[in-house]
Amino acid sequence: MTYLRMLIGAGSARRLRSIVVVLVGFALVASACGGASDSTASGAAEADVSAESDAETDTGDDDAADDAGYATHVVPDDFATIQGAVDAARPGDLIMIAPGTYSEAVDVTTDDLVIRGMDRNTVILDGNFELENGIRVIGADGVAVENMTAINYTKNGFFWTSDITGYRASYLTAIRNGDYGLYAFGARDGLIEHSYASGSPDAGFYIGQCYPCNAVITDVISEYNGLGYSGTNSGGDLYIINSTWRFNRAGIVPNSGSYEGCAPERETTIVGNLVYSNSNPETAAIDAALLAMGNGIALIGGIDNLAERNRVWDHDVAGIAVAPFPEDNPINGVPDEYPTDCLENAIPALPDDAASLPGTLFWEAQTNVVRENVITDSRTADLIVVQQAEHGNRFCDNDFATSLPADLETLAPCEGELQNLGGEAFVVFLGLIEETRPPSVDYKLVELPDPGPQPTMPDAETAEPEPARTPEFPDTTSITVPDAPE
Amino acid sequence: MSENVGGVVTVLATILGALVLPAVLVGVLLTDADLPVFAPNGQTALVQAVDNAFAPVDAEIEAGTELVWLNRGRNGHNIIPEDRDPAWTFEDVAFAPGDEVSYVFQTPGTYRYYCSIHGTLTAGMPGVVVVTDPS
Repeated sequence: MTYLRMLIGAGSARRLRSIVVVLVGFALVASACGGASDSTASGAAEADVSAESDAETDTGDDDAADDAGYATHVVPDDFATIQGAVDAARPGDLIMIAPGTYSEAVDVTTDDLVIRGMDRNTVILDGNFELENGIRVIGADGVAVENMTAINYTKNGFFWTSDITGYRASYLTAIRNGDYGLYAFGARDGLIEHSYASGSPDAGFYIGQCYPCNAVITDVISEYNGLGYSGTNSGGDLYIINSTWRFNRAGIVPNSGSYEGCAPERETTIVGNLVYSNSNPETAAIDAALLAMGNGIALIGGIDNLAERNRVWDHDVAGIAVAPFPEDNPINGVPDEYPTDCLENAIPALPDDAASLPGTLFWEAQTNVVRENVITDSRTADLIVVQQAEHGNRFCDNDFATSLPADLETLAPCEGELQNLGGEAFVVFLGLIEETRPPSVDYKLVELPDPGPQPTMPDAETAEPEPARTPEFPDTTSITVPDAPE
Repeated sequence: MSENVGGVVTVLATILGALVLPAVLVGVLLTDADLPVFAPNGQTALVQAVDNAFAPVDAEIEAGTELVWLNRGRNGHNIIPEDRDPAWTFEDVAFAPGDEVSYVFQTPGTYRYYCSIHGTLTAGMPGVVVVTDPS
């Protein structure tokens, strides 16, 4: 509470106020007006039809539950809305959604539900640029969402958050959502597979604030986002494999920051991906995407990551970059000890003396390994490291033409002594930080390609529900460099 | 007999009056308008909104203090007041990274709120402001 007592003078307070200042006396005036917005909903749980009326249409599949060990709730046959079915379901139940467009923002708080669209391409949740999240799982373990599409949400297409163990996203499509496409925060034991995300200003796919994350992203396509993948302060058995990252501002960008818990980012394994043409100036983009623009794989301020056997080409800056993350105006410093079990309530105590923090905090990228990748057609260099030998980053057996510094694999080999890496890369890095990038395009207006019909879940109408559990970790040694598309 | 009944009625009425009248008076006295209101004291306290939590979650300030929520994270947030009684009539607001909102709490009490984008009152991104009586 000491920092709560960090009272600042009225003059400073005036300087701080930039958006809303609620003037003294307003409270009493508003109170006299009745305080009519007591029951204001966030918009996150709005549905066309109330759950109450849904309950009246329940055909009562409890008999099915007796036979199968779970109940199946069909939308709209049993419940007019997805939210109605979710609210009525018990752990282990299956919710089946028929083709149609649903203008809902669904909140899920029941463990072990399986929420499945009957057809990925025609079960569409539409936020109409008014609703926040398509499906949001809050603090419920084991929830699987399968085989549907979420578009036009002001925040996220699909979202798992708040101390979750077990989540799964299978055969999902997220297009033109205002923050992330698929977003897991404070969640572990996750599988994201066979999914597609485009048109988000932050990342198409994101896993953040977890250690160990125990998560796998596989067989996904992420395009026309600010970042293809972003993961702040995540890692520990976190695998990004066998996927395509293209036409974003930047491709795969694990990173560290003080604004989330569980710092720093570490131990993310990136293997067997196609990463290309991530220099797209015509996407929506947050600041981090502008900063990272033009890089295929950028290990930014992270530790002990592995980028291996990826095919990376056509980038304005680097195919694979290892660099510090300069965080302006941090709220905390780099932790003295890294957390070993971190998920919820993870923000460390703020320092008593905020003035002691640096204006810019550099998260150093350390002891990362980049090997056996095939990297071509990078305008600055195929491989760039903006760190010194003491940071222990290593490079070997990559197929590449240019590096910064030159002879990188000789100076920083996977085996043997690390040598002085010079300062040339740092000079280039500073120039890139200062460089003005094409501004973000409004996510509501950005031009996106029609991805066409996406592969739908096999046997969606008959498959047994399988709540999410710890995924099977891949044997990455069996993954080879993928062929380039024709 | 009737005198006895009348006496009983009188006693009951007295007891009832003794119980009910104060309750009625308390009800009248504790309307929002009559809760203590403290003038702004010129002080400011800070809650930082990060990804995706308020830090600190529990803030304690004296009545009359202006509380500033500053978004230091990468995600946009909002503040949805749960406890509008006795005096928090703060409107639902959204604020982007780098932005801030503020409110002067003038009445002691406990005020719960949350970011509806990233949670509910009980999970995800809740917060509490405890406003103490400076006197």
